[in-house]
Amino acid sequence: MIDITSVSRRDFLKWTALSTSGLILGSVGCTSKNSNITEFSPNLFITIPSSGKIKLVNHRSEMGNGVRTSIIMLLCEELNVSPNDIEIVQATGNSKYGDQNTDGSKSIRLNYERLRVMAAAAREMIETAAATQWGTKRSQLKSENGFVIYNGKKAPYGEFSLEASKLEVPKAPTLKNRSEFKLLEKKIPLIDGHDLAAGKAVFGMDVEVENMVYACLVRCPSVGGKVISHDDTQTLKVAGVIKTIQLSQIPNPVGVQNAIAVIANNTWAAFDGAEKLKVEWDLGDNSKNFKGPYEDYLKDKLKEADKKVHSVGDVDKNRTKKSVKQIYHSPFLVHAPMEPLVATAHVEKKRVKLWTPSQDPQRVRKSVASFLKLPLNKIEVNVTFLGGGFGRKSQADFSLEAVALSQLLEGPVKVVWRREDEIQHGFYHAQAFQEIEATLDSKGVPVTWEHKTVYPTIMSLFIPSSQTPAKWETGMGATSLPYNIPNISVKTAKVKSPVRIGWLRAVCNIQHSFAINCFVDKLARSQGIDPVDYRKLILGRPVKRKTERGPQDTARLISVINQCKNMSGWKDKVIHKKKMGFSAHNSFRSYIAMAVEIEGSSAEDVTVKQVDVVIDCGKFVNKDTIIAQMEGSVVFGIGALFYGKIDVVDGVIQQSNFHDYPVLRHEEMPIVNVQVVISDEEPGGVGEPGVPVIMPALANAITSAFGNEISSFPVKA
Amino acid sequence: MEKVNFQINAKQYSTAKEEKPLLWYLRDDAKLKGTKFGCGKGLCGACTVKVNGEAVRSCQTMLSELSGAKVETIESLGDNHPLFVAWKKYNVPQCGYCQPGQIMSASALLDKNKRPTSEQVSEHMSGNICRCGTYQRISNAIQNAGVNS
Ligand code: FES
Ligand code: FES
Repeated sequence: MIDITSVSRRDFLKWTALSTSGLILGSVGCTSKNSNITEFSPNLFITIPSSGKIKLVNHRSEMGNGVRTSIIMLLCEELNVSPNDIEIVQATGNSKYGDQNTDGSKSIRLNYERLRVMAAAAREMIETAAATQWGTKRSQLKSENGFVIYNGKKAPYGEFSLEASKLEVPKAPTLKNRSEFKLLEKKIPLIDGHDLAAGKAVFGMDVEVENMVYACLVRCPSVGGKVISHDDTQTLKVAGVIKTIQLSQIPNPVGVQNAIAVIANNTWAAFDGAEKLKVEWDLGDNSKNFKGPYEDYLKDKLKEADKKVHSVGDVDKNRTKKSVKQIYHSPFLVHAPMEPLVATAHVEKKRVKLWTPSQDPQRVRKSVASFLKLPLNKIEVNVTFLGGGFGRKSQADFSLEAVALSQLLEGPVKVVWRREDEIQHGFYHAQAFQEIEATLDSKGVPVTWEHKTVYPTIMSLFIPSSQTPAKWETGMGATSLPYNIPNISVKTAKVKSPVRIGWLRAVCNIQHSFAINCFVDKLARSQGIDPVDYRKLILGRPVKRKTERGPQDTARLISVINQCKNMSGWKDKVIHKKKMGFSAHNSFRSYIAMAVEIEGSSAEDVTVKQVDVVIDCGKFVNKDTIIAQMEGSVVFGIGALFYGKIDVVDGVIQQSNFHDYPVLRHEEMPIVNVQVVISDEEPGGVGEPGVPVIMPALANAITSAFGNEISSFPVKA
Repeated sequence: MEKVNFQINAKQYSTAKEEKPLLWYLRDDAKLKGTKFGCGKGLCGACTVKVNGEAVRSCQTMLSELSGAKVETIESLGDNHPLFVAWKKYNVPQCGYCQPGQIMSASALLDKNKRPTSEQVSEHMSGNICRCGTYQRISNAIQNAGVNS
């Protein structure tokens, strides 16, 4: 999440081959230096048996990101096989595959070249073996759809796999050019599409293992609180309830809370039993130390924002008299993936099996190993389909609850979270207060830009004493300001939090892009300049700069802004008094601009009519997945801007289900048009970077249409 | 205990007449896991099935109410059902978790009206949350399936 490890071609091209059944190609090492060589297994990613289907491994988590299709497309493209003719093997959590943490929009960034090289090498070996057998040169034959073809002869890859496995692995296989692509950059339907639609895909929620029991946990409403007493008389009367059992806290970063588990022989009995359980809690320090709404505490901290984390030029010496200033607020948000959390574990004497919808199975594996004091290779983490994740399923707590309970019960157990549990025991997107002040020159261009940004840090999960945002957090927007401003300062303050802070789709880009894009509009309004033109004015000449989270090329931002202006018919619509809003942001190495058209007469009754999106995410894999992710980000972002709000009072979450944590519904869906830029730049992310663009674009539309400035959300609550 | 008899996907079932949601009977007892749990409060539609032809939230439908009822779940639709064909054409699912519920709601709509307007689709489908945001594709797919069924 924090960083992406750059992988050199040589590192992962440590091949191994040879098996009796056919060609098996594998790689070791990949991204992590501490790859455990004893775990080395030769059959990674590609297995071509002498007969039967080619097996390809997907090592990332499918959660709506379309990654099972994208990973397989990368392999199939260079292997010259059809995605419909192969079998997908879902990898268990294991460092031998390299990074598996499906978070931070980096699945393609980490694998775009790596997997293609592996597949191209495998294909070249098959072709070489075929050429030898047929007495010709590799350059004379071709491969297509899993067959080698030469001079009227046609044979499946499997026929050559034994011979191929004896060959040297080519060091630098030739990758295809764009003009040769059959799959990449095309719109390819999800390989799992039908299984997902028909309810055949197995989610974490659908796992059943023999003799398992079901558990529903009643967790302490505040983090770190304890059970004083509990009364399970009514619970035990529920048919199907077996018993109740106390579960102890596992400290952060795992973050299992003190709880009473209701164990039953079916899910409903466990739920019903949990409903009838009476627990008296000692809410603990987090409740005592954060009396009242957390918002009040955080707001005050803005005044203490004097810790400089970024500076360009000299703000103090260069302020002009023309000053514009605004405070921005954004609330805690929760993930609410459609599938609540769930995990099934079986702890045997010296071995553990887990089935979990995890975004980060290696983290789960390590956490289980250290919790049970078992070696890593005794722990098998099977990754199911994820019914959404959005960062919540990168956490290990729900998996560890199942492990801890299975150990206590000495048998397999499935822990099922109710929606209320998911809303109230989250790892929240941090509430934030920000202030931006700029002073302008005579043309209205900022000379100084001072950004104060105050929110609890995700690092507090890992290092309890952490109280200021990490560089990679402020690097998500605040210190990567694309505008050409000579004097910049970014400051933060020390802040604590009674609740756990986690990654949520786009993370700190959400609050930073909201404040920055709303403020840029405010500056434009103050100068009477069109907000799109104003963005171009203050971006100035294109620059390439290094930021905390990678290179930034503002030419690409300018380009998507221009394209989005054209695509949306911005000028015309503004002339015709349509209610429009605009925003643009660079995150996860991608550049996105959005234009939003709204209808209605006030912030309370506003609806979104149309959203036009232009994304430059560099080289890409599945065009339709990019479009789908933009549609999804728009829905996610509008929902958050309209309704998203988690209140923390006395350290306790106030919301509980979709009635008080509403998300966007079908009737509120705008038309979404997406344009994907063809580019030769390195791949960027697509799952997250749309969210921080739609939110301020919509806020700007509301502000400019109805006159009341939106500087805080949710706007409809 | 008193029994209740009903059909699921044209098969006869008999079970104790209790205050247990149909959702959990389907998933844990009948082992039909295509019907999903999302909220348990009738708020999300992930658990949508048809009872006597009407789309209902199975998390809010008690076994005790089902005497003589005909329940249809996602498993009742054949692989070439027009809704599945349309779903594929528009490549609708993202994570997929809400999709069986969406399709059962859509199926109940198309049973009554093969040519719903987009407003009718929106209105009918607004009880089904898709957190991944596939609404635009769902609309297109439903209208397409209506035309082709
Ligand atoms: S689970 Fe029944 S409506 Fe959400
Ligand atoms: S596809 Fe994920 S919730 Fe609808």
